[in-house]
Amino acid sequence: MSYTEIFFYIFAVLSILFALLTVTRRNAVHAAICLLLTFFFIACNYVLLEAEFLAAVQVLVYAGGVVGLMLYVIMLVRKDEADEVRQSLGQRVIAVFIAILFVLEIAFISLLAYYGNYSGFLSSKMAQIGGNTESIGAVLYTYFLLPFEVVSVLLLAALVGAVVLAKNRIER
Amino acid sequence: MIPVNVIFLYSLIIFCIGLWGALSRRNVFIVLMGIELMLNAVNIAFVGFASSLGNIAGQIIPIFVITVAAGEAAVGLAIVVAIFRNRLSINIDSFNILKW
Amino acid sequence: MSNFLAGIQFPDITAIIPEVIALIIGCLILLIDPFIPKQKKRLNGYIALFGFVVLFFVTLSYLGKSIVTFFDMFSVDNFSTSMKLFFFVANFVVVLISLRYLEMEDSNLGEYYALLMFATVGMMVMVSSKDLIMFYIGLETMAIPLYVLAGFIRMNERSAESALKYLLMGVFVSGIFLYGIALTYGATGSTKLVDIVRFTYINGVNPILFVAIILIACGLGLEIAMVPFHFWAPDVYEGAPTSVTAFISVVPKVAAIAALLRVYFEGFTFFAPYWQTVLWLLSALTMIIGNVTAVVQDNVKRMLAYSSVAHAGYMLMGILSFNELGVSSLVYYFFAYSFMNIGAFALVIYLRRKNIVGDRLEDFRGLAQKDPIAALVMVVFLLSLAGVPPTVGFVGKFLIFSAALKAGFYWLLVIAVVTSVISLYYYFKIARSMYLEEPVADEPLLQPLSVKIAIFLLAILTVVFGVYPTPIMNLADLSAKVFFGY
Repeated sequence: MSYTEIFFYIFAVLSILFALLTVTRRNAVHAAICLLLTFFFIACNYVLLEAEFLAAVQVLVYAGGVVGLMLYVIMLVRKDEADEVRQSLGQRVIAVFIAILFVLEIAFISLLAYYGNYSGFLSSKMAQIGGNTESIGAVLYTYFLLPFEVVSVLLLAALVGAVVLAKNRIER
Repeated sequence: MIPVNVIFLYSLIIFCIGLWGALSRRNVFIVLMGIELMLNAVNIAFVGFASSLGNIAGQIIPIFVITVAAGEAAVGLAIVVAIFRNRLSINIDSFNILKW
Repeated sequence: MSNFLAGIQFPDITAIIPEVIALIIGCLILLIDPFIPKQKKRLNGYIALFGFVVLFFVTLSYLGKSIVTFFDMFSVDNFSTSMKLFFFVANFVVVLISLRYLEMEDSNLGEYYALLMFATVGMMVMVSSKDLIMFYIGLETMAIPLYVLAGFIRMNERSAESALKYLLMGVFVSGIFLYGIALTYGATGSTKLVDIVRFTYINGVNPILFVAIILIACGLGLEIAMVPFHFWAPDVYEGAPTSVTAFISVVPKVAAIAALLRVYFEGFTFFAPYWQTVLWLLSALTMIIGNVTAVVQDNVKRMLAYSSVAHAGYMLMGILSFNELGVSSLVYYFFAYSFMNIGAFALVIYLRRKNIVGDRLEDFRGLAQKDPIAALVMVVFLLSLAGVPPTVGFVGKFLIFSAALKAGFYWLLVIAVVTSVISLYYYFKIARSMYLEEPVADEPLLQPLSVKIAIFLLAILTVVFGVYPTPIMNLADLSAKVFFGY
């Protein structure tokens, strides 16, 4: 077993542990801190899987941005009531439905006969470029140009929407 | 080289934890965190497939997913703030004007 | 590096001109909104109306063209073009009924129309995409403005609550959708529909893709509001502003169904018997649960919500027929459904007056005496929703049922016919309330002009295309040829 594998398993176990802690904490602030650590360990695993650029994005956007925003709103709202109340019907039906799906899925994985023996058109192209960030940039601005542009529309809409919703309504 | 099935199992576990958190908890923030965990699990799966297939697309799709997740989180928290202006509690169960 | 760029063609930018125009109009509204004085905020709405007219004619010129560009991610064909034309027609009417309504709710902000434009961009991308990631990004570009629009009336607690419920459900389900995409990517090495088909053609059927098919149906199922992802629909429809409800109940639903159709027809062609079975089950459940639950509702918006769930079931029949008639009848049904459903919600807006939302059954009481023409028009919409001739609803249902008959789904057809008969009962409940009950003395009707125009336009379209369906049928046939033209 190489060092890469050993570290991968360590980080995997740690991230699963903190993910479990995230969804079981009563206090939302504690949950947010655990979420931060989960994201961090997942980023470590990205490095081990040779996705260095993604690891940086993960730390910057998720750990820096999303969790920071969440903590800010949690502290703004500050109300942690007991939350062990009965499940609503709609969610329970969906939960059962999805749980069945995932059991089926795991069964499929274990029965997997053949897997990913076709790597698409990009792999041959990729061999010509070295470096993770460079190759991501090259492919992102060529093959993924349109999604990249449309995502900017999405961000604009989210920006405008968040301002409209959170703006102080007295000024109207 | 980490086998792809292990990475996939890892992502499946994180996904199920997120799913469980999103469905069982009533605190809006923890529901949102559960959903973020689900999206992270998807990213892990993409990166794992990318390394096993030798195909860079699997490392680019997570960038889009992260962007979309950030936008969704921003809008969701803005809605929470908007509700907070109307009332002081933020547990889903205290929303009883609308029936589930 | 130069080697890498050498083999890459520059994409054909003419294909995305309608999307770019829609985006520019949205940004234009955002830019000039601060300079419009508070009393003249309607100008934003007029810009949006004008924008949809322009977009309609620009897109009309794309009819008959067939372009696949952006590295097989984006396609302009007759199906996507006719879907875009549909969006512009439906959005035009939605803006028309929003003009006065937003003033009544004291939320007349320019951002409303800008967000509507951004959502339209998302839907246009969605119906044109040939790549699962494009579908996802289009879906989210459509959904984020919708969450905001659902909570647009911030003074109203119910509006914000319904927005939160919609967002939590939407984000949750989009996670599941993404997992489906990840599985597809892992199994085939690509997210492009072309590559998925090619892979399954060469390597046979991979069991992982069975799961992916279900997860993708789940992800799109939220916007379609099909069982078991319909629970949000009544609450959000009731809580959201009525004009937004009219929008959510029609346009995103159609966009999601069109996207599902393209993914299944072009990506998972070789899995047809499998997804037909899945959709058979979902469609039957959706029709039964939608129609039966609608019977017990006494709030008109909730009733129409369940009725729209039921209509989603009928539309799924068009997909699972998997034949040319199925697609063309589905496109026809989209138009028919938009006329009658937006019309019914427009009537609710018509009844909106001081302190009365207009969505309770009592608000419709004795409408025939207060405003006979409005009552008559409402009856037209209800008859059309129930599928009674000579309306568009009848023609649409007839076509969809015959497509299912052609594909040999006899039991599904029986369920569809029986549930259609059940639906007559609850539509009749509104009609009875309008004609057979005495009016209650309350605030007089406001009768805003723009809503009146919209309602009469929709009523005329409902009847005219019911008697003479040829123009829409021609468009529908053209778009069906995209999938079965060879």
